[in-house]
Amino acid sequence: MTEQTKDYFGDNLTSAERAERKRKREEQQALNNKRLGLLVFQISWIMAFMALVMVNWQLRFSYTSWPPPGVEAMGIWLPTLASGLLLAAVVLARRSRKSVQADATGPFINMWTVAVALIGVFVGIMAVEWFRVQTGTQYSAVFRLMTGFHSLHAIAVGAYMVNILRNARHARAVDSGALEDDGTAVRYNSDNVWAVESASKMLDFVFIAWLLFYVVLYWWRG
Amino acid sequence: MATITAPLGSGETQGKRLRVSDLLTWTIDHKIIGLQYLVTTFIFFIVGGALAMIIRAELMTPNVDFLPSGQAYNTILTLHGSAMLFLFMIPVWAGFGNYLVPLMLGAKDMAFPWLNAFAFWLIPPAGVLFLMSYFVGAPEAGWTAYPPLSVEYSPDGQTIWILGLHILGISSILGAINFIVTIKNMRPEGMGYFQMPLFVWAMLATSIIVVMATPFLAGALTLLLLDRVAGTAFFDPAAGGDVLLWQNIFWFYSHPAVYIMILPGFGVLSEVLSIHSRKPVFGYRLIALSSMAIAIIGFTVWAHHMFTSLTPSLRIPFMITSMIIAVPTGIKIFSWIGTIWGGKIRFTAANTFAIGLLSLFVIGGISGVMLGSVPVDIHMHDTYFVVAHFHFVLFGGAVFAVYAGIYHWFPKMTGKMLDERLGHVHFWLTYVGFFGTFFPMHWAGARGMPRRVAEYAPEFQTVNMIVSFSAFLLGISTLFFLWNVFQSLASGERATANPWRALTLEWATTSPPPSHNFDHDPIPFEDPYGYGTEESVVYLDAIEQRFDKPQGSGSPFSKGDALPEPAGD
Amino acid sequence: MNFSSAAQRGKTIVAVVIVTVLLFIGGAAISMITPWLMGEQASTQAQQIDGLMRMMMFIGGMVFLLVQGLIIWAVIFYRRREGDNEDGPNIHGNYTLEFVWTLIPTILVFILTIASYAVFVQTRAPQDNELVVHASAQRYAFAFEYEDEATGEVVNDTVLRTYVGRPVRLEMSATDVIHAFWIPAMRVKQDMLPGRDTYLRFTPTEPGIYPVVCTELCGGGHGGMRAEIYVYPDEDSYAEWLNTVVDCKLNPPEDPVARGQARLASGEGGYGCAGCHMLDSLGWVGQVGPSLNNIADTAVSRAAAAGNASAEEYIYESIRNSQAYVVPGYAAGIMPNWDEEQMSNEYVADATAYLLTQGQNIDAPEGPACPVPAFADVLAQYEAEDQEVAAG
Ligand code: HEA
Ligand code: HEA
Ligand code: HEC
Ligand code: CUA
Ligand SMILES: [Cu+2]
Repeated sequence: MTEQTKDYFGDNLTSAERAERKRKREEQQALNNKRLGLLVFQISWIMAFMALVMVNWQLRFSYTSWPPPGVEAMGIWLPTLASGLLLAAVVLARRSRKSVQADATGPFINMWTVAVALIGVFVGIMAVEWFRVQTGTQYSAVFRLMTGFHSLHAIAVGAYMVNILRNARHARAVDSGALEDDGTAVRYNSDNVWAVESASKMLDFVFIAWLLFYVVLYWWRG
Repeated sequence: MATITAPLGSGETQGKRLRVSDLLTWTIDHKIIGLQYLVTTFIFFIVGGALAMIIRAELMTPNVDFLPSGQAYNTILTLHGSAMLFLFMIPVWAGFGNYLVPLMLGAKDMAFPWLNAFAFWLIPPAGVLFLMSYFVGAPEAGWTAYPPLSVEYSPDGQTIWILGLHILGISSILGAINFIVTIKNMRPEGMGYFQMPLFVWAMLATSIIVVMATPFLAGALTLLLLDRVAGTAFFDPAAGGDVLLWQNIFWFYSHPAVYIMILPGFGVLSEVLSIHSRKPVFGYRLIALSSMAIAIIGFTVWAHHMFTSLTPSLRIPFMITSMIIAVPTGIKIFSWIGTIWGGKIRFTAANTFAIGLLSLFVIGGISGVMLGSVPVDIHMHDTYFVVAHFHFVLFGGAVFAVYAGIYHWFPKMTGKMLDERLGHVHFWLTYVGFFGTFFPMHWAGARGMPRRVAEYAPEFQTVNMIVSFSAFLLGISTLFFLWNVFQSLASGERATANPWRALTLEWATTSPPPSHNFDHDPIPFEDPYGYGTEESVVYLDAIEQRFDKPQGSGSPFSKGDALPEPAGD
Repeated sequence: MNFSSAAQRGKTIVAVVIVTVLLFIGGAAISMITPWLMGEQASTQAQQIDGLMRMMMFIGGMVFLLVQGLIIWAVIFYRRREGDNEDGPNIHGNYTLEFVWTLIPTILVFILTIASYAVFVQTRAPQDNELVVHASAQRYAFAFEYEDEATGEVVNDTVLRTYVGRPVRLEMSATDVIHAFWIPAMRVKQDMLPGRDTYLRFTPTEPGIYPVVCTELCGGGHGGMRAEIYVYPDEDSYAEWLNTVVDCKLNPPEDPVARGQARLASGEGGYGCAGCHMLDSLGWVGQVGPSLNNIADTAVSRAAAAGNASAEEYIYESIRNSQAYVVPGYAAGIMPNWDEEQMSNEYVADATAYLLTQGQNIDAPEGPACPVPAFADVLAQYEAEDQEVAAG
């Protein structure tokens, strides 16, 4: 066995080196943690949607056909339009995030506004579908369950995005001198991108969950 | 031994002694949160155990006499099962995980400290909801809450039960996300996945199961809630619903959930057996990977709980997967035997419980494989044979692991040693009481005694008497443990930083650790179980030098004295 | 584990052989307790499943002995000796060993799966000439319906009757919650699901009375939800019962009291009165609802308390619409309501007529309405003949 010089406790570093090492590590870690945390949450929560797909699937066995005999299938066009709108919102939100990273506040706010509006229309279409479905069987029950559950998520993410929009507009007004600066303005820029990034990622999630439901609810007959 | 210059620092910060008031405050210190989890869940364990005592008192005679009615019995039974599983067994591992994972990774805290505290504080209200449901007409459909019984035929308590469980599910998901992120992102430099302590591996596998499975519970509970309060009829066949729908979704969660309850216990076992037998874990990689295999296969077996209700042709695939899961579990069992084989086994209370676990779990595992066989399960389903099976794996497995874990980490958590002699009394009473309680149940079940009954055929009276008296012994054994804990907290011997001379990082700081865990970023030893090498001795001596010698009042510490004398013969 | 020298290897092989032999003997010994564990065997299914169980006990027993043996060995021989502060050897694994203990359990569970599958197919195989019986469950009683092949008449009973050697196919349904139908002595079980029809097959092999048990939690009375299966020794004795009952059914007694008695005693319609009520004269032992012993008398006072109804009206309404009068101390709605399609007015009237004879000073009908031979006598006769055969 040779001389042991292993520095088990980091004693051989100077205190400045140690502090620097720590700070860097922690900063990077915080962001990585948030990103991974959101991803894990999304993987987890998509399983709740999968559970409802399983419900939908099993309820089909109670009937000889799906939709059940005598029940009108839901039209395809309106939900397809809704899917398109949601996809547009997703793309806009992603591009907004790029703009924020490039400190381009103007394009960010414009695109973000449109995205929020698109989500609003999407939820509106869902409301129409919710009331349009022919009730009386499990077809409508599970239809309402799934679209309702999904819309709750769309609304929650929409609300979060509205909040971001309000902050961003407030900050713009302050910066342009239209409003007095009381120190509460929240600015989204390349240093503060997490809120926008997470909203955009959650919108991705809402879209993927919707695609799953869209196929199951509208395309999968039998 | 070679001459060695061990890195010596001056006095380290010592964690301050914990007070009861610390446990009652909102804090984001993962160690205090861990203790909050442990204390809370242990209280629920006592509650669940007290309910079990009522069950056993009722079952001393074939008629309903101790309790007013069969219904009253069902409520007790439901609360016993729900409390034990959801308020004790699942969150208790979050407690150990919270305390230990950051320490084992040499980190300051979990990845999301605030979320961590939030996840914990969901548990007491959920527990209170569970227990309060008793007063609005307690749930009486068992912990599995099969509809239609849990819908039209159950009182309002069932709704409260659903809400409580919903909250617990959310708590458990949040906790698991936190573990996954912590383990993935916060490992120290030089610790790859295959240098992680096996407890961390186990928490990782468990957390993956939690995040993938628990949303199914949320889905199932939502449907049940809607059927109860919103007029839907997902489970009502008269309206096109399906009674098996619940069973499918529920077990899709609940079978993986039984591995949520045992895998961290397996992690504890790997730590304890290796450290107290002074030998590296045998087949580290296979143990780590078999946890993952169990986690994955565990998602494919759920319908083995439905062998008597499922369409017959669908039963076979689930039988096959249920059988296969014996293989990765067997790998673990044999690897642990390989670990203690040829070692220097020290019969500390922790190790005694760990070895006891080995011998008991294997019985529960074998009865599990028997149940996994469709024809046998058709006879055994919903009998006391099943009750015997799951208490063997849950009590003989998971609870023994909890005890082993507590005896092992108590010095780290509190800075006090537990009394080893009392620990052995606790062990033997528990072991004997356990056997007397749950072993005869196999016979009763196979012979024709169904489970969840308050009245039974008189021919089973004798066996139930034996079971009940053993159960009371088991209850009493718990008192020795509680006494041990209180006595140690009041006047126990001070614990050193590393009383068991373990190589994992949680021991490379004071007992209890300071609030920031480590004064300097610790560097893990190359191999978390590298016992029997000179480097490990150097490392261990360095820890000892650093944390115990400098404070050096009283006895200079040598490695032999650190370990309690072997007990028994 | 050190395979370095030939001598070592030889020793290891000898040890493995000895251990294997011991395990075989031990596993065989453990498998011998199977009959004691499983209890009496009364169907071909029971024989097949017990055979499988014996195999499981053999393999499980070997695994058990191996693991416990290794643990005990380790605990005895690898204890830390006093004063020994060294660590154990730094061994991290052994590929051969790890491979072996992955492979052997894989083979074992493979064998068990194949065997289980074979038995599963065997026990459920359709048979020629099955006796079809309908079983229904309701909180907290089972009811059975037989169709007489000769007349097409449907008869009811609260007991499941079959005979030795005739394969039975039970077609099952439940009306309220999930129940499960288990005959421990036959090793068969099947859930009875509302909204889904299920079935069960078995072939009785031994005459006798065996318990039938509900094994799915169905409420407060789940523990008391039991029934019996009578296995007649041969087709003749079974046919004698069936013919008698069919005869009674085809020529119902004129007297509504006798009719009521017959209908209640047979559990007609699967209403499950016996599961909830106690009534000594019909052998009911239910605990869920009030006792119906002396109901004719209690009905008088309850009817008076409830207003000016007659006892007859009170009982009639209690059955027709259970919410009409609710006995103090019981929640309304425990006793189910059957509409006129499910339960005819005649049924209610007959039942009422019989219940009105259940009082202190009223002459209840003597003996059963339908003179079915008592099963105990059938069994006794069979046993006597059996002994004669053995003696002669
Ligand atoms: C910690 C919890 C836990 C664990 C780990 C297990 C482990 C297993 N369980 Fe268990 N189980 C429960 C908790 C658990 N179970 C509960 C709570 C219930 C009841 C739910 C309810 O209805 O209320 C239940 C019910 C249950 C049933 C349904 C019974 C019924 O209701 O009819 C079945 C059926 O297949 C089953 C099977 C198994 C199997 C195959 C394993 C396997 O994982 C076991 C594997 C382990 C071994 C086999 C031992 C070690 C292996 C070797 C030494 C290798 C060699 C072995 C062989 C070749 C045999 N379990
Ligand atoms: C981790 C899980 C866990 C644990 C630890 C236990 C522990 C015990 N369980 Fe439980 N049990 C379940 C999980 C668990 N159980 C589940 C899931 C069910 C199924 C529920 C259902 O069907 O829905 C069940 C069902 C169940 C039944 C079946 C009831 C039935 O089907 O009718 C029985 C019967 O004996 C039983 C008994 C016991 C006993 C005696 C203990 C003992 O180990 C308890 C030991 C006691 C203590 C640790 C108490 C502490 C001490 C005191 C309070 C002071 C001492 C007091 C006195 C001596 C009076 N349990
Ligand atoms: C699920 C349980 C259940 C079943 C099945 C059931 N009953 Fe009842 N019965 C009750 C309960 C509980 C009461 C008391 C509450 C009430 O009056 O509604 C009751 C009350 C009665 C009463 C009034 C008793 C009294 O003391 O005043 C009569 C008569 C009666 N039942 C007859 C029957 C008959 C006949 C059947 C079968 C066709 C039957 N019951 C089936 C539970 C049941
Ligand atoms: Cu019917 Cu239990
Ligand atoms: Cu399972």
